Amino acid sequence: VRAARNRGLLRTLAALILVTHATAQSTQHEVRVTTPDFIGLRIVGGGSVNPRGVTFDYALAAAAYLLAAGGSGDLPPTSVNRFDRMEVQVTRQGRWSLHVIATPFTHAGPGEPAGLVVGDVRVDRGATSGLAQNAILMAAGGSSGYAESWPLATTAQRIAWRNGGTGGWRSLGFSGWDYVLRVQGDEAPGTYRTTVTYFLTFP
Amino acid sequence: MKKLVATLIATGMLLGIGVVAAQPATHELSVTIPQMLLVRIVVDDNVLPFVEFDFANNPAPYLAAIELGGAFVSPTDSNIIDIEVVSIGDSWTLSVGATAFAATSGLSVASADSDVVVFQGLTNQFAITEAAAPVRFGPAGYQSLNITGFDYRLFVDGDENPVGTHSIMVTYSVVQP
Repeated sequence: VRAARNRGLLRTLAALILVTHATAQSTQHEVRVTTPDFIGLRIVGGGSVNPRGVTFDYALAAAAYLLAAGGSGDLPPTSVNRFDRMEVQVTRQGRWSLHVIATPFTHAGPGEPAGLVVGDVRVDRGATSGLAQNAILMAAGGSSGYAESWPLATTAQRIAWRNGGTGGWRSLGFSGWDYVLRVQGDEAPGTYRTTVTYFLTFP
Repeated sequence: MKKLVATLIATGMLLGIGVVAAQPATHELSVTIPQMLLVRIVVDDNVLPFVEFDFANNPAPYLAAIELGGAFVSPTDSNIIDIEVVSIGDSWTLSVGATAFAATSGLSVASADSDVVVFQGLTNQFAITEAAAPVRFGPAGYQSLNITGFDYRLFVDGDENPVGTHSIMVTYSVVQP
């Protein structure tokens, strides 16, 4: 009886092995990833911790100031801190725009401020830094655009726009060294300060 | 920062450009304008500025003047091509003074009836006197006065004595109110 039972068990095992070899078996599951809309704007650059900024300090370079006042009027920054480039990343679909706005100048120095407004500072994109932008895919028909130069203003102004995501962080092609100060020689002495803000919008 | 973002949102809405959709990127920007006040005599060479009335080799203009009983004569040489004023922050006043001629020279800059005059047309001329006197005014900024050494005139009437070279030093100075 035991022998007969063993034979039956062996047959059952053999049958199971045959079944296993006879058909492939697989199973599946879904991996679902949902990425949130991401829109980012950042200024990148090395230097001391604070402040991030662009400085035109001609207190000790009066000759250069004088030369500009009597000539072209244009002066470059004397120093730039933590502003090697600006980058944007957009994953959200749709049209987005980049804007810039500056606060009115505050003044510290002898006498009253005069002769200088934030509009006397402009950005000539990539002109000095040599940076190239790859954030805006220039297309015909006005679906994208990017100003080559913009003066600062105390009201928001759009400087770039495009449709669709950027596919990662992309350079906007300018640094603090691309800022230019225009002087005429009638500026009151002292130090003028403003905060410049770049921001993105979706209509 | 919250206040800034709120301001930007409000600004964006007011301008009809939609709502701010990302953290803005900001940076500071500062401009320092130097305090400056200067007057500069511009020359066309690298030597000290001068105005020269040298009639030793060409006496004709001098003789013509004294034959008239006295007249202004023009310089024979100068390297001064301009006088410039830079006044950052305020208006300016330019004064001119001079050292005296030797008492025996027969030339004088002692009074407004000076023998040395800077001539820029009938209404814009000024005498150079020992006492510094204001001669030009201007607003803040850079200004070329368009005065050259050949705008100077010397009054001669034949009483200049002794024969020789007589020199004075002319000084331009600028002040802010």
